[in-house]
Amino acid sequence: MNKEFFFCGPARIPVGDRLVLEAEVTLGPGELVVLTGQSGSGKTSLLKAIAAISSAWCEKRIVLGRDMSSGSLPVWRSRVVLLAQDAPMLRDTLEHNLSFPFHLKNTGKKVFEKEKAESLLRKMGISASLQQDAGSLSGGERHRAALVRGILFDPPVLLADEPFSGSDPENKAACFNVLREHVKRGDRAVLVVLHDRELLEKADRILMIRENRLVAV
Amino acid sequence: MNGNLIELDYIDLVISSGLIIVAGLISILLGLKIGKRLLLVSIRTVLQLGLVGLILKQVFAMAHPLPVAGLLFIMTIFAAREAVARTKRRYKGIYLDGWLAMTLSCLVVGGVVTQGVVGVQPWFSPRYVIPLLGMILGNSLTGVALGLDRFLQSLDANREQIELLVVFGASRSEALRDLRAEAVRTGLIPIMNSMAAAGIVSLPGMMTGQILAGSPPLQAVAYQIVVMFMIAAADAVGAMIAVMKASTRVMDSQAKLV
Repeated sequence: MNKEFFFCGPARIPVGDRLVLEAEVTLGPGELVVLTGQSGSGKTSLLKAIAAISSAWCEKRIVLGRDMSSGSLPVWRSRVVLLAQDAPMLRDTLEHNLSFPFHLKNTGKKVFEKEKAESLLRKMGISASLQQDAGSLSGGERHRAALVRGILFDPPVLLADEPFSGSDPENKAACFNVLREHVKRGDRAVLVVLHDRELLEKADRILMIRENRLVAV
Repeated sequence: MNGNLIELDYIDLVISSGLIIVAGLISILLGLKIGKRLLLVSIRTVLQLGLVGLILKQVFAMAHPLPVAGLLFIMTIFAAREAVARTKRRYKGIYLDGWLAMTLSCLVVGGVVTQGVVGVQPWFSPRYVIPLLGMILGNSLTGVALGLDRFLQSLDANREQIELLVVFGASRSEALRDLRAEAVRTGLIPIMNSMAAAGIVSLPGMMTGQILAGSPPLQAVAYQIVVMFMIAAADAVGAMIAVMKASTRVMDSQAKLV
């Protein structure tokens, strides 16, 4: 495994009142890794710590072989993107929701491709048009649209917190395949929180939080 | 101001208190139960304004910049307290930020108006500086209070959306841009409404006062225009500073919500 592609740790994350989860996460290029564990075990907290949006975060941070431990957190976040569990949307059209990350200062020269967006939406079972209000999407569609946003933005590392919530098995499988295609390019990695047994088996690796420790399964 | 001024004496004030008694009688007749409160606020008005009158008389007599500055300093503290009291959500340091917003808007806008537009001589002339800066404070208070309140409330209501921008690498100013703009806009609504209605729906207070004091109407209008623009600028500057300061308190430089 290439430790230099992505490393984040050690992170000390409070779980519940007292217990602390100590974790280090390493991802190799092209890897699709599943994070699992009981509800309340700290999966979301770990992803938030990696994305540096909570009070706990990793002391050492490496992405694409670059040590960014002392660098700006917004720049880190533009490379290691978290797709949050509740799949929030801006109060605007679906197009604006998919394209806004491309207009941020840290994004650089990436360009939003409308056709690619439309094709990904169809692939993930979303029939809504880009001009539609994002608020009109169903729960499952909203989660899948958030996943489309992440894949279109195409950061080196995607952290996805239960991205298939509210989707039927058929759509879950389709979305998983899109994630698989995404990492196939080799210089991308995905860490995804999942509970579905059949999808767990298709992952490259499984990490599990057990008794406040992150272990390989 | 000039020979046309009809001076009011104590008897005139006693007669005017009859008007408050009319309001009190209405309260008793209709069972409004505000008679006691009406009496109290009337006494408060007389005492507060009487006190201000005495202080102003002293400050005017001293003709020195220090008492003027001291009085303005006290006014900024009360204005900040009042502005923050109107916000529903608070944070640590909000009083200091409110005071800073108030003081800076007062200094910037007040400086331009008293020294640049009116050309007050001497520069601290209390007869001009105190009422003008008082008006700036009273109005930037509205801008600061509305702007701050709107900003902090929408921060709570849009937390998820702000975090969404942050997880894609937004800087603090990118993540809070829309909220800040909306908050400053809210702070400016009252003065924009007043400007639109000025002279048609109502004669603004200062202009009315000047006409009563004997100024020619066109001079009073000229002063009122200056005052309206001054208030708009003070509102904008005050609300902007307050919202900018608040945004650095609620989100750190690494765009993490605190």
